[in-house]
Amino acid sequence: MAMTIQRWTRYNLFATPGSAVLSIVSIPLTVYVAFLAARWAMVDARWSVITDNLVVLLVGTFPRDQLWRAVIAGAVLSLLVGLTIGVVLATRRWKVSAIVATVCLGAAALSFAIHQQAVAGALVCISIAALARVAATRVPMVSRGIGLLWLVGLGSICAELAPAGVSNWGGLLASVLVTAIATLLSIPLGILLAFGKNSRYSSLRVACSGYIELVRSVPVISIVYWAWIIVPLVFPPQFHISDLARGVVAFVLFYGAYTAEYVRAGIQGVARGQSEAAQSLGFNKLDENFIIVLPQALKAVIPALVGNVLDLFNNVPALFIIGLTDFLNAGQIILANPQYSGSQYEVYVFLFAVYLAIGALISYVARRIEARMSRGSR
Amino acid sequence: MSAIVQMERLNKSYGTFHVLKDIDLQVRAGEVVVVIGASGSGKSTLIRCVNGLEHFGDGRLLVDGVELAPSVDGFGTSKRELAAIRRDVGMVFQHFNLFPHKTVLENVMLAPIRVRRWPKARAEATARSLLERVGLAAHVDKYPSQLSGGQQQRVAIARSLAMEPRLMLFDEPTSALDPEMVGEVLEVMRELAKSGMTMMIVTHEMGFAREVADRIIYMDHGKILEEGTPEAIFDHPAQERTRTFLSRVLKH
Repeated sequence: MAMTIQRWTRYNLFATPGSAVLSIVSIPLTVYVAFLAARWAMVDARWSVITDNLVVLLVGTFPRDQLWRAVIAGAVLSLLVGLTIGVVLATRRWKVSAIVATVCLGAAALSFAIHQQAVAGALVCISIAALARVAATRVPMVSRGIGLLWLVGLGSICAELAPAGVSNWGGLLASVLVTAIATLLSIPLGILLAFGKNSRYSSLRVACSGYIELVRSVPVISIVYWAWIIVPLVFPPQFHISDLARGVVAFVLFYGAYTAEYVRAGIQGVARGQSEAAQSLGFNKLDENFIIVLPQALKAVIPALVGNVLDLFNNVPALFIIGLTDFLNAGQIILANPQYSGSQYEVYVFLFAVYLAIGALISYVARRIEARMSRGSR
Repeated sequence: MSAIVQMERLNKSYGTFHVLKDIDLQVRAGEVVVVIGASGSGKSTLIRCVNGLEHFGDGRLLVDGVELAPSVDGFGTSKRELAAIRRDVGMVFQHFNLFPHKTVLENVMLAPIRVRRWPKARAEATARSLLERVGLAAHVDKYPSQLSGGQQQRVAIARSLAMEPRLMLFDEPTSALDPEMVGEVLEVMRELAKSGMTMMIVTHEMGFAREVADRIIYMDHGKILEEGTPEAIFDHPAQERTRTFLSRVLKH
């Protein structure tokens, strides 16, 4: 054992003189910085700013007497995420997830008993996700209908949260909801734009290309502001369109264009022989595109599409411009309070940690999908 | 007997390259026509015109009574007419072109269900019997990537036959296969010819052509240089260039 550790260090850290110098400099430095950070986190930092304002961070200005709605929404989201992970992971090993679920449930009960509701809630969500992951591997129907499940799930979350007032949705809940809804809606838009851009009819081609080029040339914030002004004009005056809905529309319009380019790349990657075979069998254009070409195109670009989701999630703070309090903005609002204005490090470290966790989850999903699809292919 | 395929002074150019020159051709029901020629002679382009995968610039083309219009950039024949032709004309490609995301059975079933609107049960029964006919009953639930080239091509033939076509086009069906798999595909094609299917085959397999063809067509630089029975073409070629081509090809 000691032999292999020696060999490992020699090979990985000290292979060349340059590599050795780098190791000698960077490793102690990293250890020192990590030590300082850990000491700060555990001794100097006053985390009360987070614990006091956790509700604001998680749900913004949600009416406090209806928080149970947010809890249900969180549970449904955990369920959907768990199912998605289950569908995406190639392995059918479920025992680890089952163990994780049980342990988390036990820890949650414990935390609840000692009045740590937030921790309890988080643990319950994790266990729901783990159980959902197990369920997804057992039930084959899930992988067919995962898109539909998200649609139904998000729809029911919106319906269930609506009575609390859509303008009150905020915090991490709003960030995640905007990401999920915008992703779900931007994918069909992207697909339609991609086929439109490849169409035989030049008017459709020009319209779709023009739209894509226009949207890709401007920052997302300007599309958000533009949508905030334009969307209400489309509906009759008695309909009040919430800021959140306008923000979602903006993101759908923006990321739909990027999705279109990814999908178009995928379509062009599908061998021409596939279209020829479909045509010579008598398929009409619609069937040829949606049954033969599109599944193959999407399969090739799903990693890029999931990266798009990550980008979307990280750009949700742009909604501050129309008055939405998403997760990042909630943190800034807390800092505006003179009582907590000195706690910038704590707040931003917390924000960073949560963004990192969610971003890592999305990236992990992308990597697993990529690994799964390259398995057994040329 | 009426002609299933009728070409009159068919011309096609890719820009300045005149790839098909004044083609006059008739294929009658039940005939097996084999088109031979050097690469670039236009033989693949010729049969791809029959089901509309290539558009021609000038001339007359009737397939199964439906007239295909000459066109410049694909806006010639109406979609409905093209669809009508393609329903009754099957095509087998050099590179199989099976749908990789569907199983073998699904590949064969898909077109009858979506195009001819058959109920699933009928399509499945037909698919299974066709796969049995080409010798692949044991592979129905596999994916194309799990099959050898010869097996894939046989699935491709079954897929085209599932539409119950009146004419089958073969574009160099065995050119992409390893030699040991060529035989199994030719066997299927031989049986198909015996059963009376009208076939237009582009191939380099001269032995097969001699055995199965009712008529051989030799194409050279876009023109039909010579046509006749296999005996006439192989044993007594009239044109010099035909003789040269055959001597090069029949050497091995």
